[in-house]
Amino acid sequence: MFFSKKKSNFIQNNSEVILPDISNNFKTPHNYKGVLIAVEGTDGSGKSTQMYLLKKWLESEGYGTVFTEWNSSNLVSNVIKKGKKKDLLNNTTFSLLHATDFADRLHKIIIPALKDGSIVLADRYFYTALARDVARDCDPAWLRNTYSFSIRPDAVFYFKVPVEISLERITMTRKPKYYEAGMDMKLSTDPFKSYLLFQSRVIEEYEKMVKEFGLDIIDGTESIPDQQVIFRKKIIDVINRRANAGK
Amino acid sequence: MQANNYPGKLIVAEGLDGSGKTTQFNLLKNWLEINGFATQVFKRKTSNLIASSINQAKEAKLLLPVTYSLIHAADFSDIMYHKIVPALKAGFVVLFIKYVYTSIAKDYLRGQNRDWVLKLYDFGLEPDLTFYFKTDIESALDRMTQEEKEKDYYDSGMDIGFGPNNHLALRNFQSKLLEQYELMSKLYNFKVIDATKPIQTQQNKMKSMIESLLNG
Repeated sequence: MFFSKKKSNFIQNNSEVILPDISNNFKTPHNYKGVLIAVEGTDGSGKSTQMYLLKKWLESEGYGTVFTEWNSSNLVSNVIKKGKKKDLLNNTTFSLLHATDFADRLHKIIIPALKDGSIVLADRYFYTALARDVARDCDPAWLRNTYSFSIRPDAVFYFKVPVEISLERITMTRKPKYYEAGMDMKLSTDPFKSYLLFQSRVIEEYEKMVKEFGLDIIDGTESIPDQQVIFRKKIIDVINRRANAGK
Repeated sequence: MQANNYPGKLIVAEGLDGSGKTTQFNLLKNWLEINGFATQVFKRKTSNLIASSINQAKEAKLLLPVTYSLIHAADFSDIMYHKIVPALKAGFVVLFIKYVYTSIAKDYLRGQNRDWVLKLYDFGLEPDLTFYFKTDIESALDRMTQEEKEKDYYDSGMDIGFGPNNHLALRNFQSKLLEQYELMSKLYNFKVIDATKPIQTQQNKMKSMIESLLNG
């Protein structure tokens, strides 16, 4: 087997200094041993559920997996949380803080795990920033430059659901939150209306990226088990493709 | 970067640590205020939320070259929107010590692509005047070592292997930084101030340039 079959491990405190390889552009494939899979989509698209089920299955099959999610590095997530609470930071600042978080996880979690031969599962990748920050009026070209330090995943799955379903799913137990509803954009004073307006913008950006970055669409309105069957099939293809490329 | 179309003027100081920028700008502030111009002096790493996390991350040596760049850009963006723009809108003269050019130079020395860094700072405002305090490496190092606080792991470039110890790294890193200032001075039309001249000579040169800016 090409990929190391060991239990999942979480690499921390990699003190090695990595100078970014500029030629390793975010549109060209990476050369690491492991496989990088990302999921994208609006809140309530079901991507995290699907990723969780995928991870359980991959581990039961003996693959070493590493999971990483958006906005979770300890470097800046506190600042982001505080800034959100007080509605203090402007869009460019937020965007740069999210980029800092992403770069930190890229170099401390994602790349070390890929070097190790693990399957890295990213719940949201830089496409999230490209969708959300453009929906917040950041310049698309500026964002693409900012994130050009990234590496390209082996596959990115976009869980596509209509905005109404996304709203329905997240509001089953609560109101839309301030930022997920894009209330900071002052599109509407009603959080439900604001959510529909703001997330429609986000969806519009995802739709543009389907072609630009070759996102693979999964219909998020299908039943959970049906989606998982499709998802697993696609993942096997990705893993086999990488294994063959390595021979 | 965008041109500054606000009523206020943006005047910045670049140059090595120990070149006398802060002393000079504090004197300018005093002079401007006596002449009736409301003035504010700003520096990097003064944003409320971000500056403290930069300091913590530096302390714990958690920053990689790329996160070093991005988090400093975030700090600058915060200062831009919360301090610089409101002051310029209100018609203040803004004096900024170490603007984006220092960041661009440091990021480049940390191995970043120059074009990437330039575009990263594209949201900034172009200064109306950029003074470059030119000094030689020996006098800058002399003054740096007289400071109470020793240069940290990052300020001496030890994080990117500029030297085996703080002292040697500092010398190498600051020499490279000086080269970058020289290069940018030509590229971006910096007004060169000879920082080895007496304080008053430097002041007089800047005052005449500021006078024509404010009268023009």
